[in-house]
Amino acid sequence: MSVRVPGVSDEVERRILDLAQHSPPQMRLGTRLALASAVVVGTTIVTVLAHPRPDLRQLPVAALAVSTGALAAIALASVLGVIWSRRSTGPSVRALRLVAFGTAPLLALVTASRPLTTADGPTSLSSGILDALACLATMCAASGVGLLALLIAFRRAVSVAPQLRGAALGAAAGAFGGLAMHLRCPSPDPVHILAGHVVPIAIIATIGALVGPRVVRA
Amino acid sequence: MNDRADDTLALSSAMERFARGDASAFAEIYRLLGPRLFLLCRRLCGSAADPQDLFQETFFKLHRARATFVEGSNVVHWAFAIARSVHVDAIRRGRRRPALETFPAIETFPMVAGEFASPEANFDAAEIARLVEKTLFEMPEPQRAAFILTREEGLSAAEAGSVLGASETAIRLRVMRARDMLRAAIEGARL
Repeated sequence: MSVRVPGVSDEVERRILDLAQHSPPQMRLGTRLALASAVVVGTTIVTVLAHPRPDLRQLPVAALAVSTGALAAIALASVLGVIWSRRSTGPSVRALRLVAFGTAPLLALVTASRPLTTADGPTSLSSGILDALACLATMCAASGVGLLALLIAFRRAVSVAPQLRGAALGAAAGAFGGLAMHLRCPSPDPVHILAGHVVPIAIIATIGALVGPRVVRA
Repeated sequence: MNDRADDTLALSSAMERFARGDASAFAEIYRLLGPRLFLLCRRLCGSAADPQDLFQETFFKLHRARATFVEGSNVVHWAFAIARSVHVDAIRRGRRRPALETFPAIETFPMVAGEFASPEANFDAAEIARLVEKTLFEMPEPQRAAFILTREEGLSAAEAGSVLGASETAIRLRVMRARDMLRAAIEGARL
């Protein structure tokens, strides 16, 4: 097929058209995202199963179901928001902003405002900063795996707002980490929850915003 | 208008085939997308030499990211977004910002008064074109990009917003500011 773009030299045109000869099949974005989502969910499940909260069986079922359902909904919504905005262009930037900046406050609202306790009161009280640091480290590790999977899925896929997308991916991964911590850590102390379960979301979102553009930019 | 709609459909179909691994569709993508993309590259760069670099780099990136194209997306907007991203990167790296006096104003903005106009009128039009070009390159990149996409490429504020990752309101504001700057520059030159 003869192709000519006025103003473009033959040399440049030849170089561009030669690209067609070096086009091995690539994994589609949808498939990559499905795999990344599986990694995120899998990491969450493993994190919970490795060390479920000791009072899990004594907790009021309704309260547990409501809070876990709310957190799962936040986590799902954040990942779906990120996936929905995969077109790279379009009004999806608004959804990304919502995920990036709204996830941590929403999670804080659900977990810290009404902490889960058994009918007999809290089974274990936070012993302070060390517990919070342990939760923070666990959550950063779990969410970090999720963020890595999502970043790899979006590798070279983003041409608009890569920093915001990185932050949104971090927040989405963090939301799943928050869900895992909810089912793992029995501490009802709001300060502990904020420091150990919510702050990591902001940390992971910041890491996503800093590292993301290098990975996801088209 | 219909030709452009037909081209958009053909381009979407070619891009979808290419994303699925049909390498033969690339030449068609180049044929359908190339002219419009090169025009944008010229507008963004404003010089005769640089647009080819931007054009080539955009196609390289588009080729590399082919599997990430989402079916049903607008290929032109996608390519424009990539071109703009490449251009902004280049500006950040401190290149592709030509000296003001090198602008080939008449070529980029062919504003001439008309075939039967006096030489003075044609000279004035050319001067204004040069001034527009110069002012465009002095304004902040987001304003310039918004102005070029809406005024030169004919995109709506929403479409330009999708390419630039900004809201419709932000685009309108940027275009308004760009227009104010252009008006002030032209009025200043006439005084």
